[in-house]
Amino acid sequence: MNDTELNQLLDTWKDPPVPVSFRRRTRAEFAARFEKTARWKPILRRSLFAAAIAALLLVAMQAIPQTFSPQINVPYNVFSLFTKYSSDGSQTVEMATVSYNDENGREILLGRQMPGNFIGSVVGRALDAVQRIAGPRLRPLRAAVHSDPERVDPPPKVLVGCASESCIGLESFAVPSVGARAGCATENVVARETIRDFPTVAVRVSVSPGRRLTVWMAPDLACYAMKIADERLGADGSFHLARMKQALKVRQNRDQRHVGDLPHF
Amino acid sequence: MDLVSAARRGRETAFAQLFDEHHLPLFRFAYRLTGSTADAEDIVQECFLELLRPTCSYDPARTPVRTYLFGIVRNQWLKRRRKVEPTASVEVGRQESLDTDLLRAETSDLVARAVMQLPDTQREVLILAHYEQMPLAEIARVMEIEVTAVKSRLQRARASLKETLAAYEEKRA
Repeated sequence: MNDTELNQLLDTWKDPPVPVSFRRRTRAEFAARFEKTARWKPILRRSLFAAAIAALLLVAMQAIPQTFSPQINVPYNVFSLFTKYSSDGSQTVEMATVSYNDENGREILLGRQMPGNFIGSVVGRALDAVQRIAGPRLRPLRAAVHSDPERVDPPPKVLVGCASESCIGLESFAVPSVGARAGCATENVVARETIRDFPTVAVRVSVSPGRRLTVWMAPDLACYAMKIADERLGADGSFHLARMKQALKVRQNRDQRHVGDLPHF
Repeated sequence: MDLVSAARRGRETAFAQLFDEHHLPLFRFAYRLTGSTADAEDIVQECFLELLRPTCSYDPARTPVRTYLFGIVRNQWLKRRRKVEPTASVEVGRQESLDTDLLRAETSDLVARAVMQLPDTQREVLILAHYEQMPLAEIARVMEIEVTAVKSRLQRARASLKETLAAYEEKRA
């Protein structure tokens, strides 16, 4: 048998036609594969991007908080401790903060730390930083949306403590004040006391029928709340201390740039 | 952007064009390797989808897409073959039955059987060279061997076929 004869024989083996459904099936497989990927890819990409940015911001905010609030001129800062009292008489430190009051009597939280709650502390500090940066910038937006001046510039509030166990959200109340120049309060004054070398005037306000706050405000510190006693009405008909804020250290910032360091527990 | 890159980015038209340009020879090759239409379909489909995988090592600057696709088909076939038929010892037994089968079957079936009886290394070279008219250098790239090895395998395959099919011709005559 020569090469030509072999080739002729080999050519008798014809290939079968490609099934009609083959092309459709392969293309459907392609589409299915990309549909799956296409559905998740953008979400995954955005999530990773957001997570990376959030992580970067978190780290940066912890490391160099001043960078993220360069517009703030901090005249002083106060390191305060928030203590929680249980009905059995035991007490626990709920939170430590560094804050100050701006010229309008608004308490600006520079940082916070919850002992034994690392995640809450990190998230809380990040939220505080965002609030500090975004808050003033959102004012024009609020002014455009709300006609009520109270909604645009809500009255100053004092920070009372954590709003929940996680301590990421904070609880605050508006305490009537006549301003630092007028001595912070002229009515409902229940005490006058010097705390950390700063004279204060204490006012008592009722939050609800079973709850009252006594707030010691320092006129020299833009009515900063140096001490807050949060009391609840007990079964015996008298008020018992449930939470207390106490200023432990006041630091004057002559260069008005230092935002204060948080102690570590 | 080449068709493969476009298909990898999810462009169906690019994938369709790639498929239309190459699926016929690949199907023929896979069919002649496996002897089964269904297996050939599966292998060719897997071959195209393999191209889309992020782990795929295809480099258009190094290898033409056709050569690469033939290589995938071959690898897929070898992978299946290892699963289904792990040893090559069946070839002796088949040789004996082939002689009797040759007398009864149609010429094309006998040619097919004769080709299928060739050792794998000779069969793939013969299919690519004769049925796909692929140049020896390209076959060498598909099989990742030297051109000289391709030549010698092809010569052995043809010699073997001549012998087998000549015996059939004599018996038939």
